[in-house]
Amino acid sequence: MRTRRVAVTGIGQVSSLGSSLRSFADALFAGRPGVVRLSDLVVPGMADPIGARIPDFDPQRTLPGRTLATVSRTAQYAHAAAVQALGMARLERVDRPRGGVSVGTAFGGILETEETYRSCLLNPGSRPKPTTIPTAMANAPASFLASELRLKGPNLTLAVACASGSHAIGEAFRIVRSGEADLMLAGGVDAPLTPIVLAAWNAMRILAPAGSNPACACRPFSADRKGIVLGEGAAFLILETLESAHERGASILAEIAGYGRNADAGDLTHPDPEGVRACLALALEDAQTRPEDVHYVNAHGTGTPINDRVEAEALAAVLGARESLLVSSTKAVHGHAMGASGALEAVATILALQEERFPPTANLHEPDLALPRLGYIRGGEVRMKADHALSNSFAFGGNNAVLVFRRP
Amino acid sequence: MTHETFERARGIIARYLNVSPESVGPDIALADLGLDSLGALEVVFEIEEAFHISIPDERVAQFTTLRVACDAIEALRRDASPSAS
Repeated sequence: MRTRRVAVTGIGQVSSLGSSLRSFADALFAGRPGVVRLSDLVVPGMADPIGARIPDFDPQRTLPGRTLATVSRTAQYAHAAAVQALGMARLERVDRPRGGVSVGTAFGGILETEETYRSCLLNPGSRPKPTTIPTAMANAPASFLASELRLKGPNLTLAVACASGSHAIGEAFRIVRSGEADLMLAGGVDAPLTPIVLAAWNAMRILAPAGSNPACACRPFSADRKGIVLGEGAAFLILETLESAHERGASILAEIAGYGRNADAGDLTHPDPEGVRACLALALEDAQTRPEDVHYVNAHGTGTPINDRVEAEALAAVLGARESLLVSSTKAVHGHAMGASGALEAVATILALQEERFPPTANLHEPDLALPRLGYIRGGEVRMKADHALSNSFAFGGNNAVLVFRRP
Repeated sequence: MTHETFERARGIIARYLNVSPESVGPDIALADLGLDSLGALEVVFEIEEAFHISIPDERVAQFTTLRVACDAIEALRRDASPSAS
């Protein structure tokens, strides 16, 4: 049953591009990467680890005077992003029995888990703290947001690897559309910049090398792209019905028009062109949007040779091989923040539609000529009006999600 | 309760709650100071580490005020080393 239209009335984020929406937008449109050397980390097997790390995070800014021992790092990030989104939606006090939370995370409490293992293994006789389980559990951020904001409706935590954030937003969109909840706080979070997570990704041989300048390491759609750069952060959206947004006089940033999700049901790490094409088609069908009406795609665009090729070919097949289709990957600036990526990219897509400015793919100097001809944005932002934009996420495990946003 | 036990236990509770030690009076309910169920477990853990004692599960729920906590700590320390007393 689809009876209700779904509006986005607030967005917020913390990432390597800073802890405010303004700092994010500035770096996004300028194509200024937040990728740095992680010289303080000793990473087994990596001489020069890099990452898109949050530069200025202060949990006391949104949780002043609070004891943080029981609040996981991911819950702190999620709360900081959610508070921004609520402020923008003019919903500082939520307290809704029919309001819910939907959070995507790939790694959950890996930071606390890893710290506990390290402490116990390095200090014989020591034992895990009682806060280990409540901070390491994957649903720590979703539970914390519900408790803090008194949201007593659906409370979901979705683990869909790199597509977790997009799935969390998509499922929340369907919950609001179906009438099951009036309002959903939806997004993604991850804090995976730990020695073992970095080393484990490195073992898969898909991390981009640091090179002489880490800011240039991630180069999606470029002929010389060499892989992904891990990041961290959180991003959240406020979803409510278009009707309730109008009634309370809220500003409508964008409408979520549709959502597609499916599984390749094949290789765990190599994307399947057929699965990606099918997911794009599902999203367009759900949004009742024609391919030619899509003007911008915020690509999954990890910067690995295979992802970018499969994705570009799928876009050309489903939306048409045309240079009028603007495409960019913002992972070059905010890194691949795992479960937060889809949500950060949703925020980027909404900002683009709203401000009529479409961000470039940073570090894209020579597009890969083997890829289909699309309107890869490079060198600087593109200013134009667009009606529909997609945000793509394709995860390890073969899980795909595509969100369709519409300009209000 | 000894001054030493009182000061050390008060310091642990105050640090956890992010409040000044002076605000943790001996008979104020720790719950009223904001100590929730998980916080209580964390404080008990820190007290065990600091005083080198093991607090039995059934005594954890009795840690409702600083005074009760100090009495329990001292009783457990006496039990742990009877020859010292």
